[in-house]
Amino acid sequence: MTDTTATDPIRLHKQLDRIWSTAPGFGRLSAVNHTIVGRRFIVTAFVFFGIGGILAMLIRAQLATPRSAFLGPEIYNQVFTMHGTAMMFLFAIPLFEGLAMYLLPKMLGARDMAFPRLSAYGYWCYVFGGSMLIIGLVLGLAPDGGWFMYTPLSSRTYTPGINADIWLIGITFVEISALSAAIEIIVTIFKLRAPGMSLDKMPLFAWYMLVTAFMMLFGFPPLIVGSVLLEIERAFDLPFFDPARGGDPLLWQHLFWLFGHPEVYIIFLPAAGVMSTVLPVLARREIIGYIWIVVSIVAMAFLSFGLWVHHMFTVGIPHLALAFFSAASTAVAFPTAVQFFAWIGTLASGRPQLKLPMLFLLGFFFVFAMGGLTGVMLAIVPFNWQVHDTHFVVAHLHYVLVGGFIFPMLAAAYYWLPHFSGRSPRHSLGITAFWLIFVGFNLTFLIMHLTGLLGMPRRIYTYDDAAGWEWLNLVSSIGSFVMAIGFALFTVDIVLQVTMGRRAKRNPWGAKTLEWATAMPPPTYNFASLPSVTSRTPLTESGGKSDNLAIDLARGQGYLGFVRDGRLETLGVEITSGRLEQVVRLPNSTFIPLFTAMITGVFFVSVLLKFYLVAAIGFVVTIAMLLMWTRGWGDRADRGLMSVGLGEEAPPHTEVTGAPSNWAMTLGLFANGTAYASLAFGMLFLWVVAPNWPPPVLLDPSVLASALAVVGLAAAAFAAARSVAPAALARAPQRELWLAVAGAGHGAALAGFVVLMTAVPDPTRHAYLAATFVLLAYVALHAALGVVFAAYGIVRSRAGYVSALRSLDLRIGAQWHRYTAAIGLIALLLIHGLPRVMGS
Amino acid sequence: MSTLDTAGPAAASIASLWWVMLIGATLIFTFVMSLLALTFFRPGIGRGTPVAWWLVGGGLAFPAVVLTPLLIYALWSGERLFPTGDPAVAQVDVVARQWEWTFTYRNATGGAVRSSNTLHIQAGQPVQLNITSTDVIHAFWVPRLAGKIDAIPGHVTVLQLKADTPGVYRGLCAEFCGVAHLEMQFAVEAHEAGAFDAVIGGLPPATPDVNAPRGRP
Amino acid sequence: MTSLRNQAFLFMALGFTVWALAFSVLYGVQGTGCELGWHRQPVGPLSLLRWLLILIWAAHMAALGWVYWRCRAALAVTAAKAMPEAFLWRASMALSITAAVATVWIGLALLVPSICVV
Repeated sequence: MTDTTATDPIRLHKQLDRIWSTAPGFGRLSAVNHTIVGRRFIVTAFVFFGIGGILAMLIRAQLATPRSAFLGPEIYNQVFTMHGTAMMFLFAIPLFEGLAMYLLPKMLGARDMAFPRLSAYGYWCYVFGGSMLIIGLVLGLAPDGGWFMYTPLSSRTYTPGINADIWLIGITFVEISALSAAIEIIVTIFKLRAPGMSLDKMPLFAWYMLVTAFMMLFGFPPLIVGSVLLEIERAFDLPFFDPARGGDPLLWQHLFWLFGHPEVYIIFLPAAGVMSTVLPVLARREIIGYIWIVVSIVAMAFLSFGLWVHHMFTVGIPHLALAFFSAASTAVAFPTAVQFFAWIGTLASGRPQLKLPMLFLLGFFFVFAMGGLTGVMLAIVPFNWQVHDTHFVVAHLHYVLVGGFIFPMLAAAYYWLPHFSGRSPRHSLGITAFWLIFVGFNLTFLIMHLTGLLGMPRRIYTYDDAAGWEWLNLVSSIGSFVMAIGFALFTVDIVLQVTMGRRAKRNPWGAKTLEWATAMPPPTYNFASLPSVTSRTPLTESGGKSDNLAIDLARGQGYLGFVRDGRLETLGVEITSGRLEQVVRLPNSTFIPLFTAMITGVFFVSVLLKFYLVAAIGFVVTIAMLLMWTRGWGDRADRGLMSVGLGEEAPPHTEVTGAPSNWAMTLGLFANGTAYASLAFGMLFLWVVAPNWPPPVLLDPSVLASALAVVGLAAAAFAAARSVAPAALARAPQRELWLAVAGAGHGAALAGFVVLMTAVPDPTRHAYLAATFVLLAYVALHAALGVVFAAYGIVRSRAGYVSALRSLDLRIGAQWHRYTAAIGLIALLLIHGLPRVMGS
Repeated sequence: MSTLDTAGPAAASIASLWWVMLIGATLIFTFVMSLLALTFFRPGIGRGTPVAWWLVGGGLAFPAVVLTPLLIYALWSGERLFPTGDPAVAQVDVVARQWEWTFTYRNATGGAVRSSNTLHIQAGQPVQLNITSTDVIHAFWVPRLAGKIDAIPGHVTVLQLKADTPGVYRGLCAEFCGVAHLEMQFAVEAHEAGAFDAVIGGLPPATPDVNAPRGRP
Repeated sequence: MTSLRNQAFLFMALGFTVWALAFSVLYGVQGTGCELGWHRQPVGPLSLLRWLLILIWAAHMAALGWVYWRCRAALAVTAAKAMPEAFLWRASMALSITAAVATVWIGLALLVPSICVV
């Protein structure tokens, strides 16, 4: 052990930078550092924003005049579909993921995110998946069924080409990054905070991101399940959405909007987090109602999952059911209002400064307030019947998303740009950009409400001059070009500031959150030593002058102000209290996330091109590569308590129960469980609602195969529990034996499930057979992975990574084994029970 | 095509809902923006205001006062717009397909008759439409008469329509349904009682395949 | 004491989980009931389906009452000891009240006369 206690800040910086930095040249592709990956997410998101923006300009150019021959319907349909898709999936979500990745560790007082390689992997998945969509667009093969891909229009019969497949596969690829980011954000906020930062002392931005990430964890799986089912229907003709064979197009709508409406709040909450962070600083007082805001964020998150049917008010659902959703949709106004008035109250009792970011925040108030009000109108059932699918809705959603996301994000850009670049602006182009965007936006979309009320539906590529919509559309188009010039000017301004701005002084806004305690731009390791936090305003703590804490930390006078064994270390805390709990070791830059993402890309592209053999190989190799991430990773000997400086000690993360990776598995299983529940919901929904039921044949699944699966699953769960019992952990042969039993159990279950699957007669005949088949395939896949994970546990144990103290690997595995047993048993219950209950 | 230039009770009821909401929204918007402006033009204006005023007053009481009556009014007015299922109301089966509307008049004297892309109704009389689709999802919408409802394959949706006065009202497909989505327009012709019978009498008989919509409601 | 520490976070989600459950169960039972014709079986002044919905609603309200009471008790203990968990319990208590109000709010829908499509 080579403990170095460096008091010389320069020497400490050099030591830390050597191990945290990323190689130059091609080595940049190996970056996993959150500052770099976060920045990449942000820049890439803005590139996609540019593409989405150009598509928007094409739409407005086409609609500027009646009977325009500029774009035909074939092109126009691709353009509006890709505009929505790019803005929602390739711009908004990745942008705030990038912002969160960049900011969270710095705000929380950590050196990196919990899973840096996962961030990099997510980034590459996002870039590759997004590129698939853009390549499709360039080749003229882009999806053209609207960004919510309603079936049957998006089914093979009505969209025979590859277009819809590009959407389903590209977006699913991109969603890997959303799910991985969600897990990573939650674990980072839970565990990687500066000691002393209990949840009630956490910056509000972290609360917003925590709730957002949980929403992503539960919101994205239904979309992924829906996309996978639709792709299976398109590729293999298993009917889930085809009403002639017991499917139902409404199932797609439920799955899509079950994701789609929370999605709007997933986009809004990070932006509101920016509001709650930037606004108090510029109002020069702390935000009022901290706990009120926390409560309203949580309330909003839950309520937003109860609104999805307000996108389906016209599908013929009974009034009483609509009333539930109408009520829930109006209820969401309450938490919104609480936050709105907390912000206004903060401004009213502070001394607000009209600086550039504040201008954009005011833009938010104006635009979002209007979007919120029209949102309440749309929640009103009869009114919704009239304006649904018209330009009124188009106007509303742009008010909500541009107001509730883009304005705060532009404020964030100007607010944190000095932090990103170390430079402050030389010009005031930003003010001009603001006014162009603001005026252009309102010019485009305010009168668009009227266009909708005058009967113009969305998604029509032209209109005739008798309709009375000519001047409205012309004004909208002019406004949109004004707005586009504003965004162009914003881009120029940012580039100028980054390349030619003055050196910024540290903490230019007088903020009190920890990210401003780093140097600007931040060093690779963020903090030379980590702070101990005692309040919500850590920068005011050290002697009252904000710079002192920064200097103390740079001098190594906080926690971990040294390099130990060349390891990258940061601290982990207890979730609620923020008490010091563990020393978390983080990985350094590596190419393996990039390579894994490439192989994952091989899988997705092969599915797209229907090379299923290659796809299967790609899948297996991807799993193998993901397991390879852990090679040489971990400890081969117990370390026990380690010094963290300031006279305190903590064990390494491999020796505590609440290690980050253990939490990641738990959260991953939450998402997995949501996907599984969506699948089960789909089956029940079809049974109750879909036409052409009951099915032509009810299955009587083999009792023998089912019993084999039950016994196998029970054995796997039991053996997994035994393998992490203290007695087994202490003795290698014993724990390896239990792991072998777990693996064998999964193997038996797998065999049982495969027998049951092969007994399903022609799953293309009816949705019942298809759903049964897919449900069994889902649990079979989990059992197969269970075999792999059990074997992997044995490998880790053999390699010396497991001891009575270091049981992390096995405990992570045990979670999987238990979970697989649970979903396997539920599947058996469903396939045996449903025909009996519903068949009678 | 305007939803505000109403010609039937359903559209009229929704239009008045709109005007009420517009006035309310304008007042709320003006109030909130004025508050916001005050915080800049009269800095520190809220320094003496207790925090609870903002949060309880602005965040809870204010929306409660606005939303409770709105929601109740909306549920009440929505309830009156739902089809009653009254057997006395004339029934027309509507089948949407890419890219055409077919209307089948079940109760016509002398057997069911049909028309394409023009729906004939009697002015002043309600008619119940049973709507379905044979391919993708479409939506039936006559802006001046009533709200829209989707035409979904495998399902039958119901819409009650009434035109107050004779005339021709334009209708269109509101749910994106493919390349010729725009062309999927139709007309609703409302006739005086006598003229209506003549028009219906002149329609061709319905072919069996589009007669009664199948599927679950 | 450890339970008050570990459960604090759970209870923050619990109030609205009950709400979400109420919401989904009400919606699910309503759809299933319409499908199976329960709305046409009168039980006293109301239909079987409406009774069922009211019962489900009331059960969830009761569950929320229990959540509120647990939070309140835990808050008293943790606040007295100035534990950092007191914040979460306070938030949880506020959330259980909010969830109860939200459940009452969506319960308004039960007053709507047309329970199923004709």
